[in-house]
Amino acid sequence: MSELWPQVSTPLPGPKSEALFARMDKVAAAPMQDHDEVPFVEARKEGCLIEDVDGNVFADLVSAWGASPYGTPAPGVTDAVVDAQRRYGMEITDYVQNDVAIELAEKLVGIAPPGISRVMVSLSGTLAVEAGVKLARESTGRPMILVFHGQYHGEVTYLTASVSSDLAEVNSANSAYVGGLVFAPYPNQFRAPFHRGPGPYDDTLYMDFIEEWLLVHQVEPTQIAGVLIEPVLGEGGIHIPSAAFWERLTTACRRWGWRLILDEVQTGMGRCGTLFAGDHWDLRPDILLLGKGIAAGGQPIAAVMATDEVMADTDVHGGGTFAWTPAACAGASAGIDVLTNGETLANVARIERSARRILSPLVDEVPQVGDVRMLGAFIGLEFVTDKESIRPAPEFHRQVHQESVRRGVLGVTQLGKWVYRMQPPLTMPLDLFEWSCETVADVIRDVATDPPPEADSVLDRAIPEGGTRRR
Amino acid sequence: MPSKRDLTPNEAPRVSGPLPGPRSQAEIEAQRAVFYAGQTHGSYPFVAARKSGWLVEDLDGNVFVDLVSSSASVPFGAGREDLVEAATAQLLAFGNEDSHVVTNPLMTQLARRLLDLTPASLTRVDLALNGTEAVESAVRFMRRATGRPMILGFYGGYHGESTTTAGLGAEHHEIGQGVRGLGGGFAHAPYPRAYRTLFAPPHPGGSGDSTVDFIRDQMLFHAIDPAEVAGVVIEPVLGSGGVVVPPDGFWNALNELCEEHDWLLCLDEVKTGFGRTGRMFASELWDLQPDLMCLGKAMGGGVMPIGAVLGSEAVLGTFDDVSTGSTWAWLPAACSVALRSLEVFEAEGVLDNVRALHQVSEEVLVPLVDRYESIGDVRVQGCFVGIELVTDKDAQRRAADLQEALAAAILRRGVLVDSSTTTLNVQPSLVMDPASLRAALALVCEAVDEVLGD
Repeated sequence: MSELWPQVSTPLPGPKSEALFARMDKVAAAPMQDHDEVPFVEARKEGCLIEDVDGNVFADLVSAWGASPYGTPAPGVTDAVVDAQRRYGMEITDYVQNDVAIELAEKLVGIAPPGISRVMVSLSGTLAVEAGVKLARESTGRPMILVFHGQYHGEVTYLTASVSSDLAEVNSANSAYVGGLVFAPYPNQFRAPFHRGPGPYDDTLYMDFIEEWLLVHQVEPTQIAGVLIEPVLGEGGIHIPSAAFWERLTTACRRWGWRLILDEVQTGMGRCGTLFAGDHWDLRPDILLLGKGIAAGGQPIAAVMATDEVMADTDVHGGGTFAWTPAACAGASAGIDVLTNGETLANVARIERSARRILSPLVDEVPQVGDVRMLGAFIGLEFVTDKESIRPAPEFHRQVHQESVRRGVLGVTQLGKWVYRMQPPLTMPLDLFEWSCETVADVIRDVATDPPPEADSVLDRAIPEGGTRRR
Repeated sequence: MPSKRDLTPNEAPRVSGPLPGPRSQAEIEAQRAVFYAGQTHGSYPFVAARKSGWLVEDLDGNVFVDLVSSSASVPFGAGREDLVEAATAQLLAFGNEDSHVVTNPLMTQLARRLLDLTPASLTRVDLALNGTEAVESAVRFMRRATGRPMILGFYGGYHGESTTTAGLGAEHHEIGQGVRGLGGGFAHAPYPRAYRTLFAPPHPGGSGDSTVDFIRDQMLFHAIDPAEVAGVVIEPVLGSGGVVVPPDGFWNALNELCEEHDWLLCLDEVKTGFGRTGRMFASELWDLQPDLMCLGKAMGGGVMPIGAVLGSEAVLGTFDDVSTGSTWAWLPAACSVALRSLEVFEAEGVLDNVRALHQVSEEVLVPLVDRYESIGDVRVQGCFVGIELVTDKDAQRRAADLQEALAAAILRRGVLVDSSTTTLNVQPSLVMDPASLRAALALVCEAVDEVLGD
């Protein structure tokens, strides 16, 4: 493992990847036929590296979209999963209770923010959001949910696709048929829809919008059951609200009796440098949604957590046959031990320091780097045509990603967006992480020497050759 | 009891004693005992005994000058005999008739006249009983014509209070109460406005308008696939929401957006139509060519309820399977009075008078902005005036309590204005004598000084 290092020695995709893609395209649904963003087929993972079928090696700054936070194999987690699988096989924990599930529930309550006292089993972040919204409606008797533009809460169910507003087409054919939702812009301090030019903006402006416009004209505050919010906006481009925003939002929640539903599916379990991102502001959610990182690189699992008031006497069922299988619970439980061992969060702090040292100065150096934002190991670089107009530069972003992959760094990208994301495993060795940052920084400098033309509107999404409109 | 004498058109209002007076008070108590609670809580503190022109006399003999015009649905004052006769003659000839089933030539005449007067893009007419019903039908037409579900509305917009129209509108959150949670299919953007706007001025390279930039770059990027949007329903000048005239550049930018995504443009001219803004229809202010137009309120001359949906050939000429309207839409009597009132516009130079009234409002009310810290903005468009009260000029925060206090002080002086969600709205009869308006507005100014003066 120690001799393995990122290296790309074939054009991408390599010949073996190309052949496999051709096979896949004959049988897969359209969204799986886009090989532009990840132009290789994976053969294996080792630590925080990915090897493709052609022998190319990439630094993994995706972490299975955050669901594999401790590298591969996940220390302690993989063994625990295998052991539990041998001992219990598949089990429906909703029906037949078992000791690993109970132990995990206790551990989660043990690390959760004060006030969060109960757990409901779930299978994925998407289903956790479904249950969270139902709980908010049940416990208040009110219909409406307030959500923010740019959030992502899943896309495979009607409700989660509708509360998501990551990209309009994620909601396609869904949002028109689901009522009970109202939207406000997410507290973005760099690109405020009510201002021109780059921030930093006072993001309490967004609460003014909610209180003086949305609540006046559109929806009565006492019709709102809860506020569904990501404590740090993930897919929407790593936006970190201010303490003043949270003060205003939580005050509104108290005043109007809104449940605060924190979607920590991406931000929780150490991703933002604390156990939960909301800990940065001492947030006290009524409902806390966990997914992705809770699996710790093991089996699919998610959790809906809540206060006694919300969950002690609920009729909402959030589980399902595959929710909290013993193997998934055993892996998640071992993952909490890794998360709380002291060293993991210390490494996240080191990752953040290195990223600030290497990436943040790009804002002053490169005209197209509009903003660099991060919290813990959740890092975003926002590309613009120039600093004055801050017009989005999705094509620049695309080229940065394409060239980075070819130099051995796989980050998080999506066609049509202009924020490049880096989310390494929380345990990534610092030398590999710093090399990855330096590589991406060099790529950005190179792309900036001959920046590509950008479309007039962010809605004019260029469709690359061979690519589909979707991810 | 009210005096037997006739009300003379230009007499001054007089209010003796606190409101409601004893007879009104007794009647109000009787009403509260029998009506739905929500019916009476927004009423004026008097009960009308009769109306004449723009004067109202209550049960206690108090006389008010009416600057509300029955929510802008009575364009020529109350009790005009020629208009009432146009209706009664047809009531005697037909009684009530369901014009969807038993048709009559008056309908055709009226439809032709409407198409003559409205933008050339509109070639067909559908019947409606009132403005709300017209908007209901328009929403269904838009979805049927495009096969798309979403409709874009605006904060501040008022389109009625039925389930669909309350969901489409967003003037005040109470109107959408209980409705938002039930049905999807509507999204809202702030109404384009220059005063108390959320947005910075439009920037080079954008659509040319900040509201359209917001719709495009925020709503369409994040939340709504433009291919799922059937179109936009908008009041060309915001009515109840505060007499807001969209800034220059908005309509071009909106038209381009509609064109780019094949959206239908539906203008709700229920309140702005028939002369209220100084043009026969507000769409003339920008030469708009909408796909649909909704009419109601003043269409019936202030005598009978009637509304209409006008549409382009592509929208109203290509399918016949959306069934619309209700039994009493386009009663022969309503068609007759609608036709007669269109004659009044021409014969009596009504639009010239509206422009004269505009002048009066502008001269008397606009200077208040400089005189009082709490008057943030006064907007005049024909016989449509919005006075926007704020806590102070810098913060531009709405001052709802102050607005209520001012409305009460105006009422005590015998003048009726409409205290709406964000503004005091003044909407006189289109044929009011300019001197009478000036006299009534002097009383408004007196009240302003009482409430807002040092």
